[in-house]
Amino acid sequence: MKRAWFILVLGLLLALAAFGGIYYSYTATDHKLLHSETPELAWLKTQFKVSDQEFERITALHEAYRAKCMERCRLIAQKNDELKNLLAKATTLTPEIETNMAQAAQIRLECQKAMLKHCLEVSRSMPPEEGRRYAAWVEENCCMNQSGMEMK
Amino acid sequence: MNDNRHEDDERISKALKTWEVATPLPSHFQEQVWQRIARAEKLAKVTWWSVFQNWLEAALSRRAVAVSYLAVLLACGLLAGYATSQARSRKIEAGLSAQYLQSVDPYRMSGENK
Repeated sequence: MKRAWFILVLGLLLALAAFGGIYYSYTATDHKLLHSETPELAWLKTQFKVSDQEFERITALHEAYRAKCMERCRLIAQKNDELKNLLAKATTLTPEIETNMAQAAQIRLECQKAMLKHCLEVSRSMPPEEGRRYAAWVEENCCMNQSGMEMK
Repeated sequence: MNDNRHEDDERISKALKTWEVATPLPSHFQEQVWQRIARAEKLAKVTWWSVFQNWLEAALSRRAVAVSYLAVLLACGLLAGYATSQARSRKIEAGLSAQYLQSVDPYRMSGENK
């Protein structure tokens, strides 16, 4: 009887060990990415097979872009608040609202231009094939996606 | 007809009252009776647990069945681990790609494109 129970428990332990072993070996890279200093850039490095040297350049580009991007982000938020306040008070389309909307559109255009410029720079820092794949991915998920959403 | 039957019953009752058993009981008669009762009770107590234990013992005592059982559980563990890890990887990658897009797109940062 003891032998039968031993085999039964052994089977269950074997299944558990197999589950844990496979799970941890297949998700090890992802967990490493998650615990890195900049997970999103670490993801970019693995996803687009970027070398260490290329990654250093991309990180420098990203950091430089981020500083300007944060400033643009602040401007967008400020402009959104201004527009919201104006719209709350307005009953007609005032010249002030029109100016504000034009400024918001201008900021959006500048943002898109800067983002596209940055992404193209990043794509050029990658191996050519991966760079093309990255550019296509960005186009699909950022720029085109935005205009697509507006069209809907 | 009922009267006849009643009379028969009365006669039988009287005969039984006068009947005396002359033959002595065999030795340890009572003890044997109790032993038979105990054996019968033991046989009647077949629980699902004892059935399972007997089945398990019978099944896993065969080498082929034991090996197959271990192999099937190992395969199940491997498959479940692989499927779970793939789902988890996809989730992490989707999260990180969204995080990257958010880090380069100020409109995602300001929450305008939600």
